[in-house]
Amino acid sequence: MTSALSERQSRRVQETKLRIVNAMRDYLATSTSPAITVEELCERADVARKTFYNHYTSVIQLQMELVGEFVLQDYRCREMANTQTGSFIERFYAYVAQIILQQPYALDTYHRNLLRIGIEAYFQQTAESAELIRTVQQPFLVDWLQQEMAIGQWSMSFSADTFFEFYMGIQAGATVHSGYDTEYPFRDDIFDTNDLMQRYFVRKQQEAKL
Amino acid sequence: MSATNALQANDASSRIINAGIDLLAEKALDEFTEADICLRADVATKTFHRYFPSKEALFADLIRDSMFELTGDIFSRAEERYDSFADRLKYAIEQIVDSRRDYGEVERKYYRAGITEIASSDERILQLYGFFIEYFQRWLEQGQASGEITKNFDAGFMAHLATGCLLDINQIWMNDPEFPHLQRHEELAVFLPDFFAA
Repeated sequence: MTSALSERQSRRVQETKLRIVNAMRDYLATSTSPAITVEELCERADVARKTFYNHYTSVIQLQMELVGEFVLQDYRCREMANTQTGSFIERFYAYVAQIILQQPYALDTYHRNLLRIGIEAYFQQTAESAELIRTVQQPFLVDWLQQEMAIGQWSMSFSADTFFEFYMGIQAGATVHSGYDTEYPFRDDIFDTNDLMQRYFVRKQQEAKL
Repeated sequence: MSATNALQANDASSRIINAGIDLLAEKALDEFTEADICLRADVATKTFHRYFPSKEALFADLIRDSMFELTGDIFSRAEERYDSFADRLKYAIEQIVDSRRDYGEVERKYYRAGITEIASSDERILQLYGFFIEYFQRWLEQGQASGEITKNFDAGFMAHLATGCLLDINQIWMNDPEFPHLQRHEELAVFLPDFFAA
């Protein structure tokens, strides 16, 4: 009897948490800005302020969880591309193909808002967000590039690590562009960035062969 | 305001700024308060708030000045002296690197404090970004016209990528004192024109 009750209770707790998460998703899917107060969110979720704080310490914490989901998608795309064999360029193509397959939604207000939350976190860079970049993003690209350089397929005057820093900067720039310019077709930015990258890779490969 | 009053006002704000920098040299940002700054600057809290809404805003103002005034001068000189995107960027980055050679821990800390404050609003992030984009976009458009820069992509979009790279280098350095930011700046001056080449 007690365990049945606690099961029911824990289900209710989960349902309440889901209501908060969904209220946030709904808000981000329609609002022109990701900023929201705890009061406003609780009203939308129809929960007490205290209940919110049972699950989260701040609005930002909840929002960052949603950003984390988004980042994880990108991570999975890279991981799948990494299981392919072939040259760096082939794997990069595979990675882009994965993004196109997995993120066909990347057009809407919700994701634009997530990007903006991510940008603010990036500028206020905490130890956690720096760590995320190092552990999630760095290994793939630096590994790929190093392999490519090792077999002399590449013409470049700086190291794989340096190139990685530039790559991160390029991504940051594209993110700001698509996060804030509501007129700009969001999806095109992702494609354009990868297109520009691929052209550069191919050119560098050709230069090395000459 | 009389001349004497203006002089005194100016004096108070520079005392506050100096006290803020001194404290930041000794401690982390969250280890001192506005009251500590006022005590050291020998001003009333009310005076402090006449100039700055918060201690974070003080550092944001500091880096806004150095970023927009100093960097603004550098970018407009680059534009006057050179015609190509590659030459302008190379000159601008050389000048930026020169102005930062003496930067130490204190500069790094107040840059970090200032950027964190700037990032607290969308509007300010865009202001920070917009400054660089305006120059880069013009340089890239002119480069496209002369055949130096690829026409496959929009100049505004490429300006964002260039700005992202430049600010990313600063961003990593602000969090990692060991990061070779001057060297990375110099490498960026080689990479970007090559990356956007026609």
